[in-house]
Amino acid sequence: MSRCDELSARLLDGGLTDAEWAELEALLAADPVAAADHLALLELEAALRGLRTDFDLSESTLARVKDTQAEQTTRAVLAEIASRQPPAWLARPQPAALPHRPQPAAPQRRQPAAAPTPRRSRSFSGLAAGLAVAAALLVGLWLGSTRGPVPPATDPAAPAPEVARLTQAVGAVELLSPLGEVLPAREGGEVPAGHTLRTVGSESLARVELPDHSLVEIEADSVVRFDAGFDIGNGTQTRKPRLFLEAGQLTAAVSDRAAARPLVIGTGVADVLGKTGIFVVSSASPESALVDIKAGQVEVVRRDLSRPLPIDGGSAFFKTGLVKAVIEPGLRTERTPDRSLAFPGAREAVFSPDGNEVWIASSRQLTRWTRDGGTAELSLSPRRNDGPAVFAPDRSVLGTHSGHKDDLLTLWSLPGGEAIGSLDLKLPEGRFRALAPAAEWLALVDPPGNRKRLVVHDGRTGAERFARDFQESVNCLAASPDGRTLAVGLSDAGRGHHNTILLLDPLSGERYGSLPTQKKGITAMTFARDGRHLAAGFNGVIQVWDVRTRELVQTITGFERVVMCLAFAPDATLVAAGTQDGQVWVWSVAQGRPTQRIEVGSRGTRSVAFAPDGRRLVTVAPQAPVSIWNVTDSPSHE
Amino acid sequence: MTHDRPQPDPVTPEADRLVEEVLAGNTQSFAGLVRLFQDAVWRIAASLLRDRDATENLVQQVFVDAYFHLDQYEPGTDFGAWIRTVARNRLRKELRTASREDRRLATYRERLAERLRAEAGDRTDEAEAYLAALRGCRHALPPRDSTILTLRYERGLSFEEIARRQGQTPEAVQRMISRIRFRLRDCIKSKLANSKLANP
Repeated sequence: MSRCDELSARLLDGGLTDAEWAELEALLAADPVAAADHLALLELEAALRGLRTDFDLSESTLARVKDTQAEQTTRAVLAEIASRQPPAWLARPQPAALPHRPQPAAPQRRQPAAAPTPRRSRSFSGLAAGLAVAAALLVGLWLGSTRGPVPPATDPAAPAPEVARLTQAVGAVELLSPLGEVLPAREGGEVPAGHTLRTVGSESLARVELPDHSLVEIEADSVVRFDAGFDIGNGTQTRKPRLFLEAGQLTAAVSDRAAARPLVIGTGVADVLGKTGIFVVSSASPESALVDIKAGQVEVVRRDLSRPLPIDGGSAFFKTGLVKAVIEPGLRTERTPDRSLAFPGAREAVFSPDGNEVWIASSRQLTRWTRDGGTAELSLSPRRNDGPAVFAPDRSVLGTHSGHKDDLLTLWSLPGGEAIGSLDLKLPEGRFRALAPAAEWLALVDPPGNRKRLVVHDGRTGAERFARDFQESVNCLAASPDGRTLAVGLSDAGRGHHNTILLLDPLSGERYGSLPTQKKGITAMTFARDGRHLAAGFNGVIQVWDVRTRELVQTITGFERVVMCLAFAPDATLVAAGTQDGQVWVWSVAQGRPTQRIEVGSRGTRSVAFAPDGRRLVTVAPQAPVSIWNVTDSPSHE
Repeated sequence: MTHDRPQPDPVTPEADRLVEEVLAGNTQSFAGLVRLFQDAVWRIAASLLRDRDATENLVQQVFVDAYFHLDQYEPGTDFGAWIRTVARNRLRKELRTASREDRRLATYRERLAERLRAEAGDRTDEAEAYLAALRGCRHALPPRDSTILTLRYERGLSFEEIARRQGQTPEAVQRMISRIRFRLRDCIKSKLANSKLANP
């Protein structure tokens, strides 16, 4: 083996020192044959590494990738664009010719369209037709204390076009320039683009007329910023202005005479009340926005990707970016379980493999609850506090830990409850651990407070199999039903766009692949029994992935709650999620629509599990009894 | 910012039309640009990263970069060349944050990719011929070598885990894999040379 080969091999295996790297560089520079051999070795290594993901540079692979990936990439790119602040070139009106760019010489290049396409015109066009028939629209918005979305930057040096006229000012009404200067606010005066109107004091009120004669009343102690409705390209005002409600309340009476386009109102936390009609709400709030409308459509513009809106009295389902939702009847909330059993401190409950019993556990006690209502209780720990407990996916083993620093993690066989092993490990709560079938291995986030380190232990000896340190936080773990895959939900709090779910081999720690998740942090994760589907829960979103093809199968939205726990029905047609506010929602995976909503009786749903027949659910929450609910075939509406 | 080719792609007029629409505010038109040039960006990313996940992520990021800097593209030049430059810039940016080993590997792979670009000819046929040669050379490996190669590259096991399964030390496994790689490289080189002789 030549010295060059030796160093090349070390390079591939990650053991090259700086000095050796310099030596390799020199050798390659001096000997073209050695350089060619070196590159050939690299090409081989790249091809071999591609075997793991069946990835090579052949035309068939690239064609397959193109077929399967093209639309997914397109959607992802547009969603990413929609989730960010508009680019600088879109933030201010520009003349059509874009004079800073040279005119193209190519004769084939088409000239700019005579009537430039308005921004987001496709999405708005459907609303335009609706507005034409809407006699009037009354919209009231109430805000919390959070700031509303920031409108596109307005260049303070550019001439500010008029977007509104102050028709009435009662009490203290102030006009603020984009730079924050207080300007005189006179009745009949203009409100230029980028300027803000502020009403100060309980008796204050401002009435503003927009160019299309829509009227806006700005209530006391409110702040409203105005953005021009200019279309980039020809500098003309072709759409309605945008209003950004920073604080307070306003009422808008939208004229249908100008028709054509909806009024766009940006706000933080919005409660929108409307009798009928079509309108747009732009909300970037991390909190919920409530839309209550009896009929019609609402478009929601969110900077935060996939942020859904709960609709009281109706339901709405939102995908990514700019979306349109049709209000539908709301799901009836179920509050009365089929059966319930008091078990203070319960951490998890599952159905037995034959479905005849429900097994409920805390670190202190295991209870077997039979169909006829009888119970058999087994004391597991003399400690008074209730620590975490986790069932293995195959229901053959239970792991418990009292939470006391001197205690061991104990493994119990099921259903008998015999102690089969003790490991010198702590068991974190909920999502920070994953127990393999038959407790073959145990994955823990270690230490839970730091959440940058994953350790997988042998389930028989407790010995460390491997550890992985991450730059991102480990937010969630899940074991596949066959124990061959460990899913690791990573959250990159600083940048967000690196959030991902890693699929690891729990034997070696090697990576099978990854699933790019959205920007928000993952809060719950579970595999379906088929081992192929993986559900990941976020704040207000559930993603269902096919881990074999690594494709996103479904994105479920329409609820504004943090997902605490997840469970698939045995046939993976339904997925249930327990939420922080004490609800359990059930969705059809295929349709992404809710089929059932349950209030479990206490905040912080800890556990949800389907029966083997898929027709019952068991739920656990801290201050509520363990309850069994019948799974409905069809949604029940209010 | 330099471009790859002086002559515009044939699709440039269509690309320019889409760019104009996007700059006029029609964000949806950007989907057309993604569809037109995704393939080209894929090839650049894939040839350097050789990892499907990483490639997918990078392709998406390249187009997001392109969108936010779209006003820097000069219509009438070559959008394909421009987006490839964006892709390479993004690759370099990503590699700056990669581990030292990954950076070094990427440095060499970039040279490899440049060499492949410089060598005129039908890259499609070359890639297919290479993969066929690799398959043939793998079949010719002794069973134990073939098993070790599978464990390392198809199952992705560490040297330590392979060593445990094979009753060897990790160092011995590393040496064996190194030897297998050289054997495969020489075998492929020979097969490709013979193939060129047979089909000049």
